[in-house]
Amino acid sequence: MLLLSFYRILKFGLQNFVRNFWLSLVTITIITLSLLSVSILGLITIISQKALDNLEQKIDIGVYLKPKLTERQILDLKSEVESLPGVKAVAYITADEALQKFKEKYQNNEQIGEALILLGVNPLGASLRIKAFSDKDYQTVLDTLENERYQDLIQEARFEDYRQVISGLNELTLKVKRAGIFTSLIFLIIALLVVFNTIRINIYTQREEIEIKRLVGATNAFIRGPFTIESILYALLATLLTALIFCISLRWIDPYVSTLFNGSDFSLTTYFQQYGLIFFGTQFLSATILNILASYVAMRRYLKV
Amino acid sequence: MPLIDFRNVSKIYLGNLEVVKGVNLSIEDGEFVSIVGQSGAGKTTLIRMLIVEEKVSRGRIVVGDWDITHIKNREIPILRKQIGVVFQDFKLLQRKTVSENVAFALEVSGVKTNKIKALVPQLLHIVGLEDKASRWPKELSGGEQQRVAIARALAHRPKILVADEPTGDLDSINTKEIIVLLQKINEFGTTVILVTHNKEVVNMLKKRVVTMDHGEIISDQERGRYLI
Repeated sequence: MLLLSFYRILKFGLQNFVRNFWLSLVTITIITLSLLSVSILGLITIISQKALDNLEQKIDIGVYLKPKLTERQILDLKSEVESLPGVKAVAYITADEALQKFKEKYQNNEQIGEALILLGVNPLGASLRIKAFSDKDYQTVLDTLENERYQDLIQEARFEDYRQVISGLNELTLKVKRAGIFTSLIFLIIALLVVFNTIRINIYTQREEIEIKRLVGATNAFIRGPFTIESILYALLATLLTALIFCISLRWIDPYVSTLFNGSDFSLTTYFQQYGLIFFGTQFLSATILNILASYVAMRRYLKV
Repeated sequence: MPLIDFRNVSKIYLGNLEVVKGVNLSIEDGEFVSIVGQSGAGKTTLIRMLIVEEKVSRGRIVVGDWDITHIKNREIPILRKQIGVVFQDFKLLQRKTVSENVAFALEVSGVKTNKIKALVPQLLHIVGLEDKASRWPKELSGGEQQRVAIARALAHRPKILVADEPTGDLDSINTKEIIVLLQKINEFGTTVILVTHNKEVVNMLKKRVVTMDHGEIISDQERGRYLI
């Protein structure tokens, strides 16, 4: 009985949708534009967050050690540095590892390769890479390492400072996000009004059918249900359309984004293969809730049961 | 106990316009009652209060042992299944065939599909339209369209059938056919309330006639005639 009623409500909802096809199409287009706007906002957030993470990972203090140091001395220094306040982690890179990385980095550069052969010895020394807990700790650790007692051990301590770049990127992202939120809000308000108006027009065009339903004893679910189904259908089709446009665009955008993250394995396509369902599922749920809300208001206002 | 009992019922619209004034009317189960009067006499408003299309301003309406004066919204569909209604303008869906129009009333009430398939031909047989099941309303005469509306009103086998000016748009031959059909339905045991201002119809019926004027009942005759 319940299943049969649901099936019929669904059928009437689909009929509403098809009978006012052009109106439905306009409604879906407007909702799609809103969702695309939200998706672009989401995309900017993902890319900027990833860029910030990448930059934050690059921040560290490079401590280049004197070549004469023994392995024992280096490990003692590593332990000492690890115990310094503000130090999160210390990685020891041996001279051989440093050379290996150097070769990998410049494997396509023949001149550097030849120069290394000519030298005959490893010109690179061992080093320590220090990660601190916070921005402030980096300077404190650096100041400590400049102390006289470390001068016999450390050749140079260098701080790779990306803080200015991060702050600039943060500021830019924030501005873009604000503009995105503003645009999305405008689109959302328009979409809500359009859904409200579509349901209102549908109620008007079906006034005879609604009147008959009431007179023959149809329940509220049978009278209002089809309009709710219709609004859910708008949300579903708009989300599918948004996902389709988004996926097609992704193929075009992805190579550019990958260039931006040179050296990182980040790919938008892979990211959306993993999180696409959550990304668009959330959009569908939000659009459904908003559409149901708009149609509920329209029904309260114009549909007598 | 009467099937329908209007107890001192009034309907007052905003601005103190009283269209029904303290009406007391009892209708027994199986009766055929004509409510007559000129336009604006309050006949239709009285009926609209019975089917809860209008709220009662004062007084009470009892159907069976059910006081519907302050009926809850979720209970209205239950009441309306017990009261079939037909109107002057038929209210048929033009995009549905005759049988689909009748089936629609059952569909929206959650009746099972196989039951609908069995019921619709029976209902069309009662109103004599079994051979026109697949016709569109616009292909039928006014009288036939009204018969479809009656078949639809009978879909839930209601205890009461209310016909509000059912012959208003019909010629004399079709009018007679509809009245005969209503009599036949009444003979099967359904209480029929006929709202009309057609003098010939009322006089032909020789049944109970309630006459209204300016919102009040001015006459109630067992085998009455049209007075005004």
